[in-house]
Amino acid sequence: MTINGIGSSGAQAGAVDLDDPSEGISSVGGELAMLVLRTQQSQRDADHDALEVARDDYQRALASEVDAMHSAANQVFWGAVAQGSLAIAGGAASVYGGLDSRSAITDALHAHDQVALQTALKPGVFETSGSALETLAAPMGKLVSSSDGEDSLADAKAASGEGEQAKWRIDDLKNNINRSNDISDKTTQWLSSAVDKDDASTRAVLSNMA
Amino acid sequence: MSTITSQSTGAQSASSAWSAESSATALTPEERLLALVVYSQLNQMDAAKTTVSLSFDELARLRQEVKEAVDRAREAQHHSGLLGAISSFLGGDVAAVAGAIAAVAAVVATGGAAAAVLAVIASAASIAAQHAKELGIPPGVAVAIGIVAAGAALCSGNASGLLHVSDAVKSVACDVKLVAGIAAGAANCGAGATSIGKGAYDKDAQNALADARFSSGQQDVTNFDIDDAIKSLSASLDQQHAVFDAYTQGSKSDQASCSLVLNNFSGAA
Repeated sequence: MTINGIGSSGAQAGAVDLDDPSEGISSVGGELAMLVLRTQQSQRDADHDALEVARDDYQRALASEVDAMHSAANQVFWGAVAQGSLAIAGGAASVYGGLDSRSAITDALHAHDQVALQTALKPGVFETSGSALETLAAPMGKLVSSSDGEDSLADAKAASGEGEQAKWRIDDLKNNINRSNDISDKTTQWLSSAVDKDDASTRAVLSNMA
Repeated sequence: MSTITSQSTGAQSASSAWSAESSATALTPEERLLALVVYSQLNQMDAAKTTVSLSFDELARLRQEVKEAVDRAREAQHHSGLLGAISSFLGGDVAAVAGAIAAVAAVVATGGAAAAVLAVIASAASIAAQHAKELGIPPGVAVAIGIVAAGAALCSGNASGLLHVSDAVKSVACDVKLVAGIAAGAANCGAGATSIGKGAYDKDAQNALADARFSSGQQDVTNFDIDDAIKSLSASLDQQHAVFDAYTQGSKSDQASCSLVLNNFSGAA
């Protein structure tokens, strides 16, 4: 009788009951082989559990990375809103200041008053504050966006790294499971050959009896 | 795929065969056990095949999502670049030049007053600072230019009356200053508005890239599922072959033993 392929599929199909490895095995070699099979089975079970954990870790890292990227996008947007709003407010203040000084300039021109003209041409409150707002717009935008979402992008990078580590763990665990399957296959092949040898011996005894 | 389909058909036939044969008593216990194992393995293969099929559909859907998200990101980045260029042009070039024109016009209108001269210097320094990179001016040199300009402004004092201009020129200069100032303010408003639009497109692009990353990650997960299902399928096939081999070998061995025993009996007789 040939025992074949039990190791490779035992973990999924549960084809071999390894609770009592010594049952039906009389030789020391057979008992050792069953012990190896049971150890490999336990190793595979543990690796399968670790594989599930690694997959969960990968999913979690991916979700964190994507959340961080969305967060960075929002920060960039609100930074642009802050910068644009200040620039609009500054521009509007400058326009209003310019229009507001028009009558004073006209009066000074009509009066030929050089001092009054100089005073009228000086930037007023609105023009000055407008200029200040325009100057502040870019830094405020950077401040609100946390430097274009740099912190969130760094978080996304870190989460991406964790995801990569989880993938490597998954690869390693799959390799471990494959290696364990190979060992189990070799063990069952050895067992099979031992059983065949036993059968041959029995036949030889029967032939001799004849 | 043809193998999988035939195996699926095999699963159905094995199921019906198992149902029919399980009631019959003609089969030996080994044969019934063999049929049960084969039926169980075919069921497992059927489930694995369904998983692979569903996973491939999921993979195709995710690939489409990635493609669409990347297209969305590319389009948003295109719009963002356009608005960024407009914003930079309005806020950098137009506003700065308009501001410089307004400052020069103020100098002309006031006949060279210190405040106006300072405004010109400030405006020139502002333009130099904004275009330092394009002009290839190192930051240190740009700072030095600014300091020298400030010093020159301090030394210039009140130059009122340096320029003697007519009232008509003054009037034109005032108008120019007014229009240039308003134009600078309006340009800054436009720059601000386009900057917000650029931010919105940047956000869209970033969100689309995040969606693409999510779909790409889900593709990895689906690939894990496909790997597992294919391994399960392969393991079921191996197991099935192993069971058939075992049964065949067992039958041969039984036949050989029977023949041997019969031969022995006949020899003894």
